Amino acid sequence: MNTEESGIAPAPHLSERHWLRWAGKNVMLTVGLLMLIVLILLTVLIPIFVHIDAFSISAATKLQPPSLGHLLGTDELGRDQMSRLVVGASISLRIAFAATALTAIFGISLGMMSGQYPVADIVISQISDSLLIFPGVVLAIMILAALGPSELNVVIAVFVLYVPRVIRTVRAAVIEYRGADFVMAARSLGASDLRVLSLHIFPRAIGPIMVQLSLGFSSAILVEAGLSFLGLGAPPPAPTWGGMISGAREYIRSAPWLMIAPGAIITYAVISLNLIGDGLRDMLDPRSRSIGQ
Amino acid sequence: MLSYTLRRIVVFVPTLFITLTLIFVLTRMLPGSPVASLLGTQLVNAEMLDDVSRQLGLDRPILAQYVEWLPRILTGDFGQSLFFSKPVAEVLFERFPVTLSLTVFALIVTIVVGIPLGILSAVKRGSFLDYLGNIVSSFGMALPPFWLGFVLILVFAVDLKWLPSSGYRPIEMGFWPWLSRLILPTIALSLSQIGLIVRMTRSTMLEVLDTEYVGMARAKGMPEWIVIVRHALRNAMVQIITAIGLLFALGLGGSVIIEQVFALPGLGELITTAAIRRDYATLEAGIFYLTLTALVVNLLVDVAYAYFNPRVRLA
Amino acid sequence: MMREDTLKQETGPVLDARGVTIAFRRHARHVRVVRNVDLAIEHGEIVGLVGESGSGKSIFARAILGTLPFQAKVLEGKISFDGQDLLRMPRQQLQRLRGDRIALVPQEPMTSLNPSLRIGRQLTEVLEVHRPELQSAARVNRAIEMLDLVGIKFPRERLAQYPHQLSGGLRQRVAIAMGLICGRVELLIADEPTTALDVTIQAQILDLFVRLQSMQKMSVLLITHDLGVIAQTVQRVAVMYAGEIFEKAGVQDLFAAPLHPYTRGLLDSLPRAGGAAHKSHLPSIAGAVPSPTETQQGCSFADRCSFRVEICRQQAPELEPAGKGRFVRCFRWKELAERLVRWNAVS
Repeated sequence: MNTEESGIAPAPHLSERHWLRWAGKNVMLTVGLLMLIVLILLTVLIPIFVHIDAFSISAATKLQPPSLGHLLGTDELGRDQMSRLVVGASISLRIAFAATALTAIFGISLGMMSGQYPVADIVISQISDSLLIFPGVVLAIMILAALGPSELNVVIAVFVLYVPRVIRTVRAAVIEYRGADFVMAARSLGASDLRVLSLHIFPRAIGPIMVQLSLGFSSAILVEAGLSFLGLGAPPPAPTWGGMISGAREYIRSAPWLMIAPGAIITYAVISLNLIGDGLRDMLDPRSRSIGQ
Repeated sequence: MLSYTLRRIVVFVPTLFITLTLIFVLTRMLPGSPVASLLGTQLVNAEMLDDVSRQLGLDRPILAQYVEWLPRILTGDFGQSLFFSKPVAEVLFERFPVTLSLTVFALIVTIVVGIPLGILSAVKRGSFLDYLGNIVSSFGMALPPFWLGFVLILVFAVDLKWLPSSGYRPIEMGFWPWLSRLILPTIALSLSQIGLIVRMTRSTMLEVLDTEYVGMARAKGMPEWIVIVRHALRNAMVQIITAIGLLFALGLGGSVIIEQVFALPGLGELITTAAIRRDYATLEAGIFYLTLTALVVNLLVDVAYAYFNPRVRLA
Repeated sequence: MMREDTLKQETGPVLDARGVTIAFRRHARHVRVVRNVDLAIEHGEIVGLVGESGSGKSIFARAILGTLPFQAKVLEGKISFDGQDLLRMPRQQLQRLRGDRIALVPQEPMTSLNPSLRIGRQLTEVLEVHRPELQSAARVNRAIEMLDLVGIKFPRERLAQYPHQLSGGLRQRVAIAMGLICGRVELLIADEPTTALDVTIQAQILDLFVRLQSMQKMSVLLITHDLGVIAQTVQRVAVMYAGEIFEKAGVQDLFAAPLHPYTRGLLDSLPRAGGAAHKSHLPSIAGAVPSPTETQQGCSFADRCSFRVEICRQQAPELEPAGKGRFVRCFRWKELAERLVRWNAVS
């Protein structure tokens, strides 16, 4: 019986079952989020409960395989691998987060300006496109060569690497919606540019932007690892994941565990963020799903 | 077609100009002088520093440096490196084939493996194959390529001893020596590219398979394989070609790190070392070369795109 | 029992659909979009299938062709084409029929042609598949013949063109040519063939249909939401609503004396000159088509029907014969028919 003919659905009750069903429908997103949360929790909680020492050098305990005292073994200077990974996690996550936040702020604002005002567009687009010409990490390398290796400079380098992409996405969205009916309606009511951009266009563009930012976050982790590997990241004795892989090169035969662990955890972090990004994309555009439908 | 090509070349010029300027600006923003780097830990006094600086023209105002530098670069004179005893141009020339071998080889592997996988994933959407392809491509894109490189070395060069672990032999010294040293680096470089192209191909094909004209082709009774190849793929190719241009640029970028892992003496390794040593002449030259390659490939892709999609030629 | 091909039955309908039910798989549930549809088309007949968007008519057409989207499934029923059940035919065999003996004229001419292939190629490829005995030159000639038949001028030049160089009306003519090119069409399914075209072009295309139909002696299933198109073109009509057939009748009978309240509503809402001029507003049917996900107990039109009574909400009516080859799905059709006669007599 259609007594609810008017079409107003009953308010959803936020019970556990509701969340579970949501999780079932958005498998990737849920798994990704869980993985990320686990990583963050471990990074934060382990130092509280276990004694973490990423820096003490001890010739006596060098290059030891995993044991009870050192869950992931020790490196060539006798430092505890597990502690170094945990500290490295906070470094990588910090850098990636800062870079992504900066990218979001500047990318969105510059993108909107670029999409809205033709004069700004010429300048911003030209610079942004020129930055995109540099293949891959080359741009970051150049910047770090100029500024010198440090955590802050890595953030800046990654930011410069990704902000053009976000600018492009935002700009495209603004251009797409510029002529839309709802925009014309808002303007005819006297809305200012800023109002139109922030209240009308932005909410609709937020989807692709979020997807790109989460994928940017995962790329930031990979890029930072690569730069540290090359020796251009935060300088020693900071235990960066990439730096650990670089250090483990020499001992690849004698102490393979030194190589495996940092790479595995980088992969884990990137997968979790990619799942989040993909999950968000599927949520926005269910047609591209391959599982779950 | 010709006018389109010419117009693309014209647009190329300001981009090149800005790129060069960016290179100049970024490499000259030095907190530490390259001279001190070169002279290393030798005890130097202010006079020696000034001497060398003047020799290298580093004492003149920045704008003057720029005006002198730009035409030089454009004519291919990259000057003398502070670290190598030969002109930078020569060094570049020696190293370029290495990087090119690696990137082109990786691109070929990516196309040959990735595109069919992407098509299959789209055609058999929702199946186990699709799911598997999704997982493999996600994984491939998440693995840090340099780490993968080491793992490959560990397994194939150290444990199994099937392939050499590093170094480069020019093809003149024999086909297998050349090839065998490129196999592992190519796998390391191409895995993430494959992940990317599988996804792009899959999503483009899905879009195209959903169109009215594909439905119409089926309604005409065309056999499924014709529908997929002549109707769907043909229209998807246009976007896939663009992706290839993108991939080549990614490959160039990725080669920078892979060359370090496998000790391949290419442009990438040159750039990295130059960056650490603050060898600005070499750094500039290497980046310029690499970027120029990417620009040219982009241009070619644009032209190819216009060839396949006649409607774009008016743009 | 798999007969290979052309043992055409001259007796019996060319298309006979019985009890066809089609559902979409959504979140592990089946949503029925076509429910228990019976429809028969005789040789050489033009039948119209009328319904609003969402009535299931296009899905039904796709089921006949065998080109249902992958989430859709035929739950029950049988569709006989010349005696063979299309729904249980092996895919290869069905594919051989499509484009050859059963053809489709699509709804969206602007997007139904492959943008990267020339017109000629899109025509000759149909012949390559279904008439392999023809040589290349013969195929080209036939393509030119067909373009001429559908009224396209300078056919030889058009062969080399790309779809984006043709207008919507021309593209639709090309689509019709593609459908008829093999020359053996027994059933032509036209799914909203004129909806996306200008009114003047519409008239030309419909006219073309009628001419072609009598020339080629084929049956036509014309699917549309536009009653005006129905009136001009078809011989028999089936009215579809929310996946069900509500009424079947000859076109004159239907327009003169519609028996189902929904059909009455549709006809009343047609703008008419003259007699209706004294009405102050255009009548429309209140409410909206129920979503297929809401399952109901009674008649699916009950909520919008001005003639409903209690039984309408409790039981679903069956499709009953109403004389003269007519069928109606309504509990009160007899009463309403009488009222209509009285009303017509008075006014």
